[in-house]
Amino acid sequence: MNLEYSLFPGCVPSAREFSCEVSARKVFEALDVELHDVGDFTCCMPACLVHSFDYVTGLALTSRNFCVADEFNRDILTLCVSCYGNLSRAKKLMSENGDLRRRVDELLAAVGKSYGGKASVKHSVTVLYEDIGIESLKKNVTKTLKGIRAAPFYGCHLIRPREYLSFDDPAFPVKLDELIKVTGATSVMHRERAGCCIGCGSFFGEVAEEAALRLSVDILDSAREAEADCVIVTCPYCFLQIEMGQLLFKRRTGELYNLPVLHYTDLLGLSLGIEPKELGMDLHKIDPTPLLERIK
Amino acid sequence: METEIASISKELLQRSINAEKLRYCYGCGTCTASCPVAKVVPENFNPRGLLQKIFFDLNKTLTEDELWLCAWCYTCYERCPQELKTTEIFLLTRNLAVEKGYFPKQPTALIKLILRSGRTLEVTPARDRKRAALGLREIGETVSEKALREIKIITEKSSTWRVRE
Repeated sequence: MNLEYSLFPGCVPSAREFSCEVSARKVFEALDVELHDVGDFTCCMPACLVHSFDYVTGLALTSRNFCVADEFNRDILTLCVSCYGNLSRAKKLMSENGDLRRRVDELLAAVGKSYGGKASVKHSVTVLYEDIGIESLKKNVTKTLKGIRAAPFYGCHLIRPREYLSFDDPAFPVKLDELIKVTGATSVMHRERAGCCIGCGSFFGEVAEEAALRLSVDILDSAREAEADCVIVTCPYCFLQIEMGQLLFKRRTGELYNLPVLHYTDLLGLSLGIEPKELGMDLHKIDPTPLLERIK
Repeated sequence: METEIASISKELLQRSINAEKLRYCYGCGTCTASCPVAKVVPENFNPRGLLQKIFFDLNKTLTEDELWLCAWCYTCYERCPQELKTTEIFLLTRNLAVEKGYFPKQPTALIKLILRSGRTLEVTPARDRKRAALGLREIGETVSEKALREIKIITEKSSTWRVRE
């Protein structure tokens, strides 16, 4: 197939949720997709934080990453949905707003750069769906996950806003469901599938932390009501929130949801015949072993 | 009706979020009904109310924590029947708050971490060893020296990025 991308590492996968990177690398390796490390990428500089302080400077910091990417003739592949949305937003603002672009370019000139914006922004899931494709994935599946009821949790910045994210329908997304079905698992309908985990807002103080906990409980209820065996996420932030949410909730109430959270690449990897440990699933804090025993 | 937000960053607002449309809000509450934060902490965050406060009492709004509770999910932005760029309006209003010297504690600490490391999360040597044990590349406590230097230069001219000390 010979697909190649510049890997945009993202803060959460590289500093906290290692299983996300382990899993993605393993799956792309199995599919013959090459991920290149690029030395000079930084944080994506999320708008909710960095652009909140200074819109133009924030945009310049985000855009700097495009200048770095353009040194190579490859598209960017992100592991995190927030990086994906944030980079896509910057690209849209830079391409549509000449005044903003001029101001950003003035800042970038100080480091000898100017915005080119050649590289496209992709996410591991958009690459799997659009660049590799469902049919091609099906051909690689060697082990069916039949009987597993998986609750998709799309992640905000994979689908919203449609103004610059065209991957799926923001109100009724279906593509993660299709990707889940490739593995033989059942994709269950539940009310919070297109919801928010507040990952991006949860570092803004006690109220935000409390809100994030309550919301992860709501997401877990939604999945449990639909009799799901696991929640499938596309974003390491959602992963952290929905996993940690269960541990925090247990500490507070004594009740453990015990609902495994899986990166989509975990599910796909299992169906490609990759061992759970190789996908980093032994790092998960909600033990997926009972689930895994069912697909042996 | 000219709002202060429109006059302060008028050009930026108009081009980026179409400030003209601020007055189009007819208070239907679709934003609040859709908001994940309002769903779980309704007493602390209400996007419809926040928009109205930005519109009618901006200066007071700039000092309030509520401004920092938007989780940036774009659900209201996607659903607003009047096509107000709600999420972007909240971001720009935060800019105005910072311009006036209201630095919320946690975001400010994160900005400092970015200036120091190029990331929003710390990679301690122990974490890096853990990465190596998992077969991942070691990435160090900061992004590359070149990248870090460039971040510093780009932010140097920013009048609102006064958090470096």
